[in-house]
Amino acid sequence: MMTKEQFNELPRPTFRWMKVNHLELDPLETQELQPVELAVRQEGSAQVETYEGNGLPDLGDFQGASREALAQAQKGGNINCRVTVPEGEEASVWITYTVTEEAPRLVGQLKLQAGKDSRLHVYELFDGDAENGLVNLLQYVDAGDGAQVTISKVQIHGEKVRHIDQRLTREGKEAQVKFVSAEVGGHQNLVYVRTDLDHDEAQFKSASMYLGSDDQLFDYSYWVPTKGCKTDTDILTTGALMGTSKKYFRGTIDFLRGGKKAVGNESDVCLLLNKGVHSISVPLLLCKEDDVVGNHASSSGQIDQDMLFYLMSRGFNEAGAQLIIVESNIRPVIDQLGDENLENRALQAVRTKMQFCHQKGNCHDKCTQRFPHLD
Amino acid sequence: MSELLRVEGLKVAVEGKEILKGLDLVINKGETHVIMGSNGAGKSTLFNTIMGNPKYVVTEGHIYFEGKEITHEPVNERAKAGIFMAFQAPISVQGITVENFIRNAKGTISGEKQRIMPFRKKLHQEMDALSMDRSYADRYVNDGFSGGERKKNEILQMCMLEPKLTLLDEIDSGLDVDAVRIVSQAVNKYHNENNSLLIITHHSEILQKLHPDVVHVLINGRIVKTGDASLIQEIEANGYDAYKK
Repeated sequence: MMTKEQFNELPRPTFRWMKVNHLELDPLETQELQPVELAVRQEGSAQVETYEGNGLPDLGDFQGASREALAQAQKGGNINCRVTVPEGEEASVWITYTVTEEAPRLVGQLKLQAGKDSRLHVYELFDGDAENGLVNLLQYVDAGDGAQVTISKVQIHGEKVRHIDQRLTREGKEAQVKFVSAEVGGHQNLVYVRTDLDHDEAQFKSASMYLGSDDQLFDYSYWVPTKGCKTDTDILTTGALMGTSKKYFRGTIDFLRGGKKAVGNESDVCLLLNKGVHSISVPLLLCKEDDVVGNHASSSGQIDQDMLFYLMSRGFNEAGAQLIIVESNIRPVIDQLGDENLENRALQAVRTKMQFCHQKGNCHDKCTQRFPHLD
Repeated sequence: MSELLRVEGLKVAVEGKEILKGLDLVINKGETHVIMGSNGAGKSTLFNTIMGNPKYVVTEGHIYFEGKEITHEPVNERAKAGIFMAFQAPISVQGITVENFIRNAKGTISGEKQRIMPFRKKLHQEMDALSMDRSYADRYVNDGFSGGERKKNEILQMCMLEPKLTLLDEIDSGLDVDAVRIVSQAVNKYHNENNSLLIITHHSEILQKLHPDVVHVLINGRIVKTGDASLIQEIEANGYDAYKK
């Protein structure tokens, strides 16, 4: 019998019967990596280079999305890239990761090194589809004192891709790291984020949206140990599920001793559009320091009938009103992507999915006519 | 005057409890009607039923709009036919701006694509008339709006969507004196011989400005008295006790 691979293990496991400590998936069969040329564009004064092998420093006790996925990405692969911004400089970098039949497996690292007081914005687009497709990207963010790093990501793979996004962030004093993600495509989507706020007044913000259909899976895991004073953490995941799709959210804000006046918020919102969907949320706050503020929230529910009535009273049909409600959930995240092209790609993917997937059996033309034309 | 709305023998239940118990009402084009009644009499139930809220189940009776029966039509079809309800507690819709929302609603109701420049010009005119800051057009619908701003946004939508029948559900609640004046002016400007108003209110102040033609007293799910505007003063002076017996 094939041994299952364990993904996104909770940093502090809870009762086994709750079945939330990790996710088990069948491992993908091994395949040789094909060479890939990344589409990279940049503005500003970043140094962008590709490399082979492992270009990352010692990751300490970083466990990654799974032992196997971490080991695979640490070996290096076919999409390794390093972005370095010198002290006080500013840069934006756009990277597109495309899965193709010729190169169905994209494995590797993205190392972001932002010098003291620098500004770096990385825009990532993941697209394409292939049988047995896999993306396994290990992102390492080293934000120096006072640096600001933002990663905006749109993931619109086809339905055959397993997408693994593992992130380790180390922040200096007063550094700010922000992740904005839109996950719409892929078959199994595993996001593992660990951010170490070891230094004073470091900030970590993360806003993610997802839209699941058919048997898609989204598994988000966040672990933020906060050791510095006056650190600020804010984690939001929001989205909707259709078909028999599943979403797991595991968020752990770990207030360690010494991290006085730290603030941490985490919130998970899920709109259940079908009866067969599955939403599990584990927003954990761990505390060894008494002078902190931590808030956690989770909500999942069906479409608000009062809102549906309000929208339909303005002429929108039920499907159109549902689309607006879903968009109202996710648009605040999409609006933060900060790149019009990426925002449009994400919105377009959401609308296409709502039209095609929510009412299975209806033809595309019929569906399109029934939808409002929202800019 | 031609007939716009006809309600015949309407009985409506909510969660199995009968609220409207045989209600008749006729509104002609160009008329302003007021429904008055104590709390729980069924006023909002009547509005929700005319608009087609599925929570309100019609157990008996008929609703006709411009001669066509709409008793079982879905909400959006009634909106397209020309019925608009200004909500007592408008819902906030994050992620969609006011301008985008109204433009799409207008396009859906009229069936015509709304060209952005003429639409925006009219939107700004109407916002100015309502003393609404134009920046509200770029904000998410009712998100972070005060109670008064939400009510103004409802009237803005009415002015832009140009319905034939407007149901104003306590549009004056939560409005200060100036806002009541501004909203009344906007409603009066919009109102003409081709459209009609049906109003619910507990305050006579707004009615002095909207000049109703017909006043109905709704008690316990039935209209027990219909008269002209003088009925408002009578109710103001004596309350509803005389009609409850």
